[in-house]
Amino acid sequence: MMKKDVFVIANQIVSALGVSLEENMHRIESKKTGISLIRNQNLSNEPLYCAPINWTRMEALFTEYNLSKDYTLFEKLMIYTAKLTFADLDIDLSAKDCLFVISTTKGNISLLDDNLAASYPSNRIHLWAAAEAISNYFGNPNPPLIVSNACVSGVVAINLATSLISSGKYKNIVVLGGDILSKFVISGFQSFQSLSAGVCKPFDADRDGLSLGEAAGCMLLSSEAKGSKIKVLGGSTHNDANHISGPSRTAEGFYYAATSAIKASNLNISDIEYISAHGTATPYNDEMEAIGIGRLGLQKVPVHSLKAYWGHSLGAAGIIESIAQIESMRKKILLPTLGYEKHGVSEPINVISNTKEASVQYALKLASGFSGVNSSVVFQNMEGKR
Amino acid sequence: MSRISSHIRIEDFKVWKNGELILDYNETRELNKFLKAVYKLLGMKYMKFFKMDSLSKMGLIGAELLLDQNSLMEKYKAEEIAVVLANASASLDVDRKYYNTIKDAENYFPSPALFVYTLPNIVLGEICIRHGFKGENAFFIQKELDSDFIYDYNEDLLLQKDQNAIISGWVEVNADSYKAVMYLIEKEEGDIKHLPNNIKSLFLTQN
Amino acid sequence: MDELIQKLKGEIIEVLNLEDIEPDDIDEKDSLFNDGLGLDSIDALELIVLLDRNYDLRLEKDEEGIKVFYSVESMAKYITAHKK
Repeated sequence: MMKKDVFVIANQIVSALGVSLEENMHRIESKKTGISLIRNQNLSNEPLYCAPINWTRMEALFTEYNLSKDYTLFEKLMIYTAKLTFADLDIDLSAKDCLFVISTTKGNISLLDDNLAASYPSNRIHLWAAAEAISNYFGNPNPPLIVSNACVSGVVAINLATSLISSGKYKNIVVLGGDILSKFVISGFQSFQSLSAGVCKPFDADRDGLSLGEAAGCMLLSSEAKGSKIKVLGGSTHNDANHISGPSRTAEGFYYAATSAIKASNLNISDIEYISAHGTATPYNDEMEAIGIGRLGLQKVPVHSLKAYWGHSLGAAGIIESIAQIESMRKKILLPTLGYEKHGVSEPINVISNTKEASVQYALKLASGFSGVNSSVVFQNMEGKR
Repeated sequence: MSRISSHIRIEDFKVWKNGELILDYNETRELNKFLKAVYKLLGMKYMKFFKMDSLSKMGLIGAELLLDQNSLMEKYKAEEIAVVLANASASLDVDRKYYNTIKDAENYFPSPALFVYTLPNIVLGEICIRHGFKGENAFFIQKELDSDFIYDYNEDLLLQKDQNAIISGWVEVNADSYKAVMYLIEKEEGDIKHLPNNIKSLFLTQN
Repeated sequence: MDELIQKLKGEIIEVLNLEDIEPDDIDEKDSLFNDGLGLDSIDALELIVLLDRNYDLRLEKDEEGIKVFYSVESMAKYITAHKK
């Protein structure tokens, strides 16, 4: 069977930078960070730099959309973001050939708190139950697929959806990823001593760790172009076989993930013109990615990390960062790396520090995560010029 | 057509390999002690095992059982060996244990050794690290195993993604409730055809 | 100091899940992070929690960690010096 093309036909983001794609892109292009110092005992015993969503604003929007208290905060965020994505589209979400693929690391983890859990059915702490609540809201008849692969979940979800559409199993797939800030996750990263003392600085010589954030991203993929010029060409996920919480010093998994994705896209490595790295701003991650980019021979290719805008949004990261990369390709610009001032990795990779006007065709998105996993996906802008 | 070259089941304090009961553990009803007994039965010497949460221990033991006497690294390249697993409870078992280290304000000592396991895909990493596998990884959460889905996903890895062997299956741990059914898929070796119905049978038969 | 060293060995074994290792198997002067015990970066972080939880001590700077956690003996010396 001929493989079908996979088009990106709609995108939305809800995050600290805003409640729509437009708001998010506007703030990114204005080089505004969503990371700030917060004092909230529900999230952290100490003051914390992170990128929280404006929940007051969201609650008003949830009310407007009649999203009742039957749904958890996480579920409402996901449903709202998906709803916004479909707003102007004529897509039958109740059709058998439409599927939801959900990406999240911790979903409704806040329900570990007995007081909170009392308000919901007991199984809602399970990711499959949260995902069903979300897809059922839209009347979708298929059990949703749930990807929970640490910080690469978003990219794995995009790759999974791409395979399913490409092989003809589904026509439309809603790739929906999200995670919300929680004491559970924040305390864990604090115990790892891996959080930055300020706004994170990817690839910078003075980088000192990551900033956490919360967000939801929705990418609608389809075998029908519906006027879109953006395609997902291929992707891959590989393990370092090194350590569960630290990356391979020689970027093993990163290298295989990137080369496999490029091969699956029927491209040569040298075809890649724009790279969106994972770039969490930890000393080890950024160095690993620089080494990996070096191994690929792509030191001259413009590369950025978007982590200083949204923080690290875990299950949403792979999706919202891909969306920003795609949107920037459409606008014929390359987005800069907020937080980067002084080159701080051993390879002379080409970190984008100011918005660059450029029309590119092939872009590579990368992600890495706990368990030594590395994922990648290749996007094509058919209107771009090589 | 790809084949299932070995399969294991860990359930109810018993262990089966390729349909044969190899351990019927009677000493205690504690999962941790049971898993340690299997570890010893396998003659493993791997200190990291004892730092793992129950999900990772179970997956690691399952892989060890599958690969006993079968050195995949001699047959295939590291980057061609994949691990694809699914379960219903994600990492909820250890999530609760980690939560206990932070929920009480008077006794707030978040444990990094527990936190690192609060992601279901860590078990994939532990299997890959133990055996040196650098192939594809995926972890899916499902109410029950969808054998059609996992069959398609794995066939796609074998046919389109240059994978030549896959450790796959279901590894579920949630307090006292646990079940692991894992199988090894290879392109040419094995008696059982890799098909959704055969995968389903592995789950249903109480050997 | 000897009593503290014995106590620490037991706590380290427990907190780091060092199975089948007895306190007598650990030499208090030996480097903790060599191949012998196979301790890694996560274990180092757990030792920081151990100091906090059991001895109410928090390290001042990151650099101190390497010296304090070099061996059981160096940990015991640090605890003795900073005991509240």
